[in-house]
Amino acid sequence: MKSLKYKFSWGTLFGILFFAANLYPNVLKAQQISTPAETHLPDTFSVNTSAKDISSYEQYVRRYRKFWSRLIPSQFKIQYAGSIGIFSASAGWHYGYELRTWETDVFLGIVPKFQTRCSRATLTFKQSYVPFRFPILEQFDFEPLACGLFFSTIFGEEFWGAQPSKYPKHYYGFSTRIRSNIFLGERLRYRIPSNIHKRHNSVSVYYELSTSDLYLASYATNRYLSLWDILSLSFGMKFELF
Amino acid sequence: MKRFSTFSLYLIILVAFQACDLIEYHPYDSHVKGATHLTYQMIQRIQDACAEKDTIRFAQISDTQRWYDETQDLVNAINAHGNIDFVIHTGDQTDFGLTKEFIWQRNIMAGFKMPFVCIIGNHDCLGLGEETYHKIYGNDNFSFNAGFLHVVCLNTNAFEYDYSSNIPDFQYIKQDIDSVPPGISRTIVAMHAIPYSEQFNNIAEYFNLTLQKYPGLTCCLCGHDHHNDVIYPFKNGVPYYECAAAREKTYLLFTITKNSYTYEIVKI
Repeated sequence: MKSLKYKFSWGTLFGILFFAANLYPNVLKAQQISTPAETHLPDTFSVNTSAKDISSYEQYVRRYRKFWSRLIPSQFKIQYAGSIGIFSASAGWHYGYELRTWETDVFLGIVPKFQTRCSRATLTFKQSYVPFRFPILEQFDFEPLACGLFFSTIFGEEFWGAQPSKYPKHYYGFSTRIRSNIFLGERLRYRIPSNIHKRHNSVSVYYELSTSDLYLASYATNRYLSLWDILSLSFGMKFELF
Repeated sequence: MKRFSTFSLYLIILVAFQACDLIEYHPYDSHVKGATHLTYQMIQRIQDACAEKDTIRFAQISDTQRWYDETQDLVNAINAHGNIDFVIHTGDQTDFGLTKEFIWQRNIMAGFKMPFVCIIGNHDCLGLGEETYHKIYGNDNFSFNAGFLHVVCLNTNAFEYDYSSNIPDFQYIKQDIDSVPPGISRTIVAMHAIPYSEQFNNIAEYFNLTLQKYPGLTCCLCGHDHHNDVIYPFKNGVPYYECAAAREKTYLLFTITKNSYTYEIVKI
């Protein structure tokens, strides 16, 4: 009998996200059909009519849209190197104090093939903490510390999350697919004046130094390795929309 | 002002050179800088240096994964011996198959005054490690002649390939047996995993029968189990000398002549 035990797979996760993303336009369509032409579509950002004036359906749609509007990415990043591909791009969110202290980003990266059979894609979840910001010059901010961690996975049949079942127990006690990394970096942020900005209200350039779990394990037990041997440098740009 | 800008230019160039080594696209990206295709070059050096010799003396090290300090000590000790013709590394130079691990180990072993060859181990196959190995060293099956001695190095990590590739590659072994030049009176076969280990394919008996066709099969070398041992897996008089991991800080020293050979464990 087939076991009903749930096994995690990226395909399932993407499937759920895809399904959720598809629900949204369907709701919009249903709403367009059912609402009379003269009423405005419920607006997420300006709720000035009182609850009495609108139907419970509209209230529901309004709440629904407000909830999902929080998931609209508020920033984008592009990055060179940094152990997650030669180039990677992300969509993400900033939040916390003044909406800028914490950041969560999801990166997609490309690893060139070099000597191997084919190039590969990476997917990275990155959590950053940016506690300080000092204004310098007119439109510039200096952020002397950006730190955090990121978990990166690489696609390809050569990699496994945990050792395949063919091996005896504890044969390989690590994952080749998922790398856990920590990083430290600095940023320079340019606030685009509101009379000239078109798409983004600020642009930042940053560099980061990161290292991964397996490198730390190697570094910890060997005097031969210096800190420079295990560090990985990356450069990037961040575009904030709001 | 001009002095300052020149200075800052130097500084930028210095930082840029430093930064070059820090750029990494992925830990498994197989992006190798520096010397590559070492096996071919090393074999040429061994064949040239040992062509006329009556006594061949070589060292065996194994399983140096994540023991960089110990590997450095082994390199220094083998260099200090002063009378070793070449070194055989019987696999597992990396623990995770990472590209940087291969590069660190290559850079340490580049300190050998004598030529060295490296065999692929099961840990070297992880991720894209196998392809990195092929780039830095070359084919995973190779052989060379040191005077009267024929040395065959084989990939025996069949478990890593789900037993679905020709490992050990009998086609290669057969071709190699056919192409042994005249004047060879002894053969040594080196591998990472010993027959009957969990890595080896379940065709150990056939492997043994095939190796018997080599002229003067003397002994076999292996690693994988991290301790020094002498094993007779087929009980036919052919010993398998197992070399300990670098952690034990020992290497095996073989002295081969046409009439006899000696084996000793050297503790450094």
